[in-house]
Amino acid sequence: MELVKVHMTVNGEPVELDVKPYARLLDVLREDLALTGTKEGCGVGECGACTVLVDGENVNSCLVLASSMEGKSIVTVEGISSDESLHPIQQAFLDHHALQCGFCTPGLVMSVKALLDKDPAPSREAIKTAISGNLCRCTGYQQVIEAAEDAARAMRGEE
Amino acid sequence: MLRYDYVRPASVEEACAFLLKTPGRSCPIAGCTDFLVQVREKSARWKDLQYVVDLSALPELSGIRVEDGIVHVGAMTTHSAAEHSPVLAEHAPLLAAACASVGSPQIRNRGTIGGAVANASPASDPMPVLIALEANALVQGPNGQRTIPMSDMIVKPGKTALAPDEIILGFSFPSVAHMRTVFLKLGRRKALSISRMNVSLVVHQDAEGVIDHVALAPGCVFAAPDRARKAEALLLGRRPDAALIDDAAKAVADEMIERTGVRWSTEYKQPVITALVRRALENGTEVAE
Repeated sequence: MELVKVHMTVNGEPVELDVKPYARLLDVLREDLALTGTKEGCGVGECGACTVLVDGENVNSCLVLASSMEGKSIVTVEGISSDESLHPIQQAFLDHHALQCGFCTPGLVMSVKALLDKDPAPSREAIKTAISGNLCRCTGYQQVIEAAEDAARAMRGEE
Repeated sequence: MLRYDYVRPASVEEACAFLLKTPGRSCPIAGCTDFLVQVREKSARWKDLQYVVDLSALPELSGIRVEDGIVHVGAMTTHSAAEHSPVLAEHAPLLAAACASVGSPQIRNRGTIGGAVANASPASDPMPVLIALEANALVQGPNGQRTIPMSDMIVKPGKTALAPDEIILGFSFPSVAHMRTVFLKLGRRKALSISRMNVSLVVHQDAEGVIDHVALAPGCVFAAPDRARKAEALLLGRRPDAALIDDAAKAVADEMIERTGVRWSTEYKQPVITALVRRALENGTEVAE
């Protein structure tokens, strides 16, 4: 199999990689770039644990071929905050106890991020739709929805 | 694990030429939301797969526009793009609604309408809508372009009318801005569910309330998605009332049984498709009191 050269931006940094032609974006993020914040759950697009942003849209990185990412900008959970600080969405997840085991959390955070980047004041219904592709077996979602609402307020500057 | 090489053609011509050269060993790919699941499940469909041919970056396959009353939807249009398209909101709201009901936001952001059609799933959401819109697919092969009516696109579950070296460029259909349209879907849960059944309806009534155009396409009901011609014949030229809507809804269920026989699922599907069609007609028509 011939390796495929791919140029992409990952968390703001330009990256040039030779990837296996059949590697998923998830594999390349975790194995080649050591960005293990992105989790593999089901591997078939049902659970959303592997959610990352591609050009600002949330996608399942288990259903994306890395070789097709030429010229794309990818953001993972590692890329949303700088230094040791937390992104307001992460802070809101903590404040609202919107996680227990935490396996789904990076994916949920990225789906909420995709929503709030487009819609700074989403309705409850819009939040539910935005996280409808992310399974969480601990929280029952209520805390996640409240965290998303709180994060939206914080990001609008209404503490 | 299935392993394959990756090819990124610079044009549709180059893609077709590569497919021609590697018959049965290449798969054109778009969003990969079905393909990578099939690969993971080691689908027999891909046992001879050697190459994937990535169409996702070809600019001539993208975009939604309307010209002289004809709507053109590029094959690489994602379900999200269709869901949020102002052109579709005006000219084919049922296609936007069907695309909004596919998978999850993550799936809709990657999966394309062209990919969904080429994958020929019998449970596709956009497929019956395109049939109800009387859409044509514009396809290109090594010998040029041709159109395939969407009603002829699915030969059998998993098999399209496309030759192995043909690629879908896009879909076109007349605007239905002046008609009433309905898309109803029954799934097992709200997100990520594959349609158990769905109904697409495009209908128009004249000034007297008489139905002068109707296209009714139930999904997951016939072996391949198709219009329910018997119910349409009942409705055309009539002023709808509760009794006519009941008859038409029953006619869809009867046609299902006539065409697919009584199967293990019939006991469930018969009353459910009747109710879905009745609901679609009640929503989509002005009913005489």
